[in-house]
This record gives sequence, C-alpha cells and structure tokens, in this order.
Amino acid sequence: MAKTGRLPARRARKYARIAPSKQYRILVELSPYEKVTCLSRFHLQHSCMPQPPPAATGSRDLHAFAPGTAVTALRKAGRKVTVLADADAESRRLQRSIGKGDRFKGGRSGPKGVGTLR
Amino acid sequence: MNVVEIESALVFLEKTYPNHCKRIALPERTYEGRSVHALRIGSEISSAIPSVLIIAGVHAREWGGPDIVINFAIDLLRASKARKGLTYGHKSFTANDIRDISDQVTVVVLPCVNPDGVEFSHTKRHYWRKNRNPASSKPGKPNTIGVDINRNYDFLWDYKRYFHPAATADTSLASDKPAEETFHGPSAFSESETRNVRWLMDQMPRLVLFLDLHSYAGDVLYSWGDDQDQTTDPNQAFTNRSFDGLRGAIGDSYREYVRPADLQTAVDIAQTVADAMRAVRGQPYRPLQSVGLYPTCGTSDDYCFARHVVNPRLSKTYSYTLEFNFGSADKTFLATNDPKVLDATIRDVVPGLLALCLSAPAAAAASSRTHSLDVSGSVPSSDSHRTRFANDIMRLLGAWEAVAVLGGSAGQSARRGILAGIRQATKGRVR
Repeated sequence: MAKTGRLPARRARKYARIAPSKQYRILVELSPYEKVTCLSRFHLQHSCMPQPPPAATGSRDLHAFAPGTAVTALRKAGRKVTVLADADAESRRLQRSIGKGDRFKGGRSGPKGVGTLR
Repeated sequence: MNVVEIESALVFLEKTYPNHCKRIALPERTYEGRSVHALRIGSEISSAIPSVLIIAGVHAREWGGPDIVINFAIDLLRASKARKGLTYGHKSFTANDIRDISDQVTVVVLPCVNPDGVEFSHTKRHYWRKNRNPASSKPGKPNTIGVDINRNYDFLWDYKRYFHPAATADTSLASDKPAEETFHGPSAFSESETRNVRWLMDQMPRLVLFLDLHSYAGDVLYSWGDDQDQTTDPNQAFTNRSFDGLRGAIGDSYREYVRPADLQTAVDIAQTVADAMRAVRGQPYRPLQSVGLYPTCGTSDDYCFARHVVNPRLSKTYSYTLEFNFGSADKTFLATNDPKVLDATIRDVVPGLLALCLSAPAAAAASSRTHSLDVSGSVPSSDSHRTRFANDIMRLLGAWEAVAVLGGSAGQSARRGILAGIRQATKGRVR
C-alpha cells in the first residue's frame, strides 16, 4: 500500500482500487477490427459520448461510463482499461457550476442573449 | 441554467416581449410532477405559415442544450423588437433576415423536454441520460430507473422485429433492458416527455422543420437513422414489412428510401445550418446522415420526418438532430459545464438555429412540391414501369443474398418476407 503513494500519478491512477458499486469514466482499447458490439456484455454507457480519434495503427479507445464491476470484468477479460475519473466524484465537481436557486426570480429578470445587435 | 431557471427565463421572455411570443403549457406533467412549457415566437400557429420546432434537454447529461435554445429565443426576440441584425463572431444576420423569420415563420422552442432527468444530472449523477420514470425499474437497482426519451418515439420502436440481429447487438440502437442507458420503454410513447413533443407536433399543421439539440459530435444529422439512404427504390422503406429483420446492417442490400428531391433539400438545409455555425469561429460542424453516427430507432427526428409517410395528410417535416460541440483532445466529457466553453458553444450554435429558421420558406416550398407527388402516388418520371420491376427483382435478390445464411427465426422470417415481396413484384407478370 505504501508503494502506491510513490508511484507517478498516471500509474497510481491505473492501479487505484476499483470499487464495485462506483461508476467510472473509462477508456477501453479496441483493436482495428473490433466493433463496439464485442463489448456489449459489459453494459458500458457510451451513447453520444465524445470519442477520441483512432490511433495511427487503427486501434482506438472507447470512451464510456461503467460501473466498477464492469471495469474489473473488462480487465479480467484481458482488456486494456484506463480509468479517467471516478464519475461520482466528478459529478460533485461539475455540479458546482450549476446554481441552486433561481437567478431570474420567477421571471422578474432573465438572461441577456449572446449576439451583438447591429 | 438549472430547470427552475429555464422555466423562469420563459416567463421573463413572455413578460418582456408580450407582442412577439407566448408560452405554451404542455398537456402532461413529468413523473416528478414538473409542468413543462414551450414558447411560440412570431405569429399564431396556423396552416398558412410554415413553422419550425426546436427542442432540447432530452438527454439529461448533455448539458447546454436548454441554454442554447433560451439564448436563441432571446436574441431572436430582441433583434425583432429592435428591428436590427445580429452578429456572432464572423457570422452576421441582417435586419432583413431577422424580419423574414419574424414575418414568415412561426418558431416554437421547447428548451427542456426532460426536466426530471436534467435536474438529476445537475444535482446527483451528472452522467444520467434517461428520464426518471421508475415504472420499469427493479427494487435496489437505481440504474433501472428511467427511459431513453430519444428511443421512445414511434419509429421502428420494436427494434428486435425491424432490425438485423447484427444491428441489435449494439445497445446504441436501443435496448429493452431497463438497466441500459438506451432503454426504449415498455411501449412507444410510454413517456410523458415524448407525448408532449408529439402533442406539439400535432398542434403545428404546417411544421416544415424540426431540430432536436444533443451533444457530442459536431454534426447536423439528417434522416434516416435506421439505415443508409437510397433514392431509387420506393418499396425499400420502413413501412414495408417485407424487410423486417434487415434494417441497420450497414453495407448490406437494405437501404431506406427517401425521395431524391427530399434528400437534396434535407442535405442543403443541414449544410446551411453547419455553415452558419462554422462561420462563427471555424468550428468544424458538418452535415451527416444520421445513421453515420450509428443506427438508431425510436428517435425524434426520424419519427418527425416519417409522419407524412405514415399519414400523407400531415405536413412533410425535414428533421434534424444537431450534435453540438466536439470530443476534445484531452477526452473530457461535458465541457459545456465550463462557463467559458458553454458561452462559446452558445455563440456557435445560435447562428445555426437562426439559419434553420431562415430556411423555413424554402423547406415549405420543397415540402409542398414533393408532398403532392407522394399523396397522389405518382412516381418520378425517370422510373419507367419496367425499370421499377427490374429494380424490385434486383433488390429482392440482394436481400435474399443477405439473409440466405441467417439462421434462427429471424432468418426464417426475413426469407418469408422476401418471398412475399417476390410474389407481390411478379404479380400479373409471371404465370
């Protein structure tokens, strides 16, 4: 355990403990001839996700959300999985930009628009 | 904007521009009891004036759609009132452009179709995609809550019957499992959100353009989404049961029919919208046939475009899904949560929506021109009767090749369908 703390950040992230009940944002490597359907049994959430372009070799990474159980199962199946983020922790960070109240006070004020009148 | 602010913004617009817009209360509340409003901009909805419907906030985690639509409405209203043009980066609209939209088009915007899901994404799990209806859920399994609204419309909804097994293996098409993010619901239009959108479409007798805002791909998607487009064989269409079990396998013999003139109009308008967005600061938006992303069913754009095929009395509506923003190099998701990125995205996309509205008169003209042919049952003059017969036979042979090795009941069903097609095509010709 103590060694994990000395690993470079990228390697530490790779070997971080995966909690089965948590949701993660991951990249799964696909070979040039593989379709996404070959990952169907892992129930990854990838619809409408921004996808990175394929590598020069033709292999590509599928960008998806997946529960910890799926991450573990993918690795057991020999898949190269990169965990980008703990999606639940990421939720808390992203949601800070969403206001809790009503800036427009029920319609007494409102946004101003973005175009320049001319 | 959170879901409360979206509704407040609509109230603000109605108060500020009472002569130019009016809120429309949609008939159904969401599962969590939220009422939903659209906003009409311009003249009363009628059969005399072409109308445009723009919706957003469908997939909860695709933040930014409602903000784009609200800002589009504000810009259009304040420019109409001031009788001025609008500029976004390097893209400008003249005062005449704005006047043309105001005078010649009725625009209806529905900024947040799925407020329950958006609220959940804003406050609980940002990666949530569906609505929050628990009707199909299982106790102790929170992922089984909700339906993917953009798989719940009545277009080839029963995907296992209509699509090729190779296509149904990818859950992006749709899923009948509640735990999947593309769960299509217990039946088409099972959800109040999709029924609200359908109700709006039903209120617009001359709906000529429809656009559903999503992210993330940088595409202006035009129909069809179930398979590749083709313009030569009217029989090879989603209404033809002979082809059940064959759709969605890209590169095979089945392709979805669209009239040549309609395809041209659909692509031209998609190009116009993409060009307007690209002009702002060079973001590489592009038109793309919907299936180019991946095959889909039960989506709003295909349902809307298909309505006139199923019921020729309805207006022909050129329909789009706009996927705003792009997968960035550092592979982050939801960049629109960053206020700076969101602001830039709004400036990119609003000109696309204005360009769409400016295309409405042309779409109305094209719709009337080609729709009269559809209703009368005429065929293009280049399609001689003999050519159609040859096309039918070639198509059926191709379909047979595709399913010859297909096993199981799907293969049997497909082959029976093709035989029925052969009998129909050769009726009266072969003794």
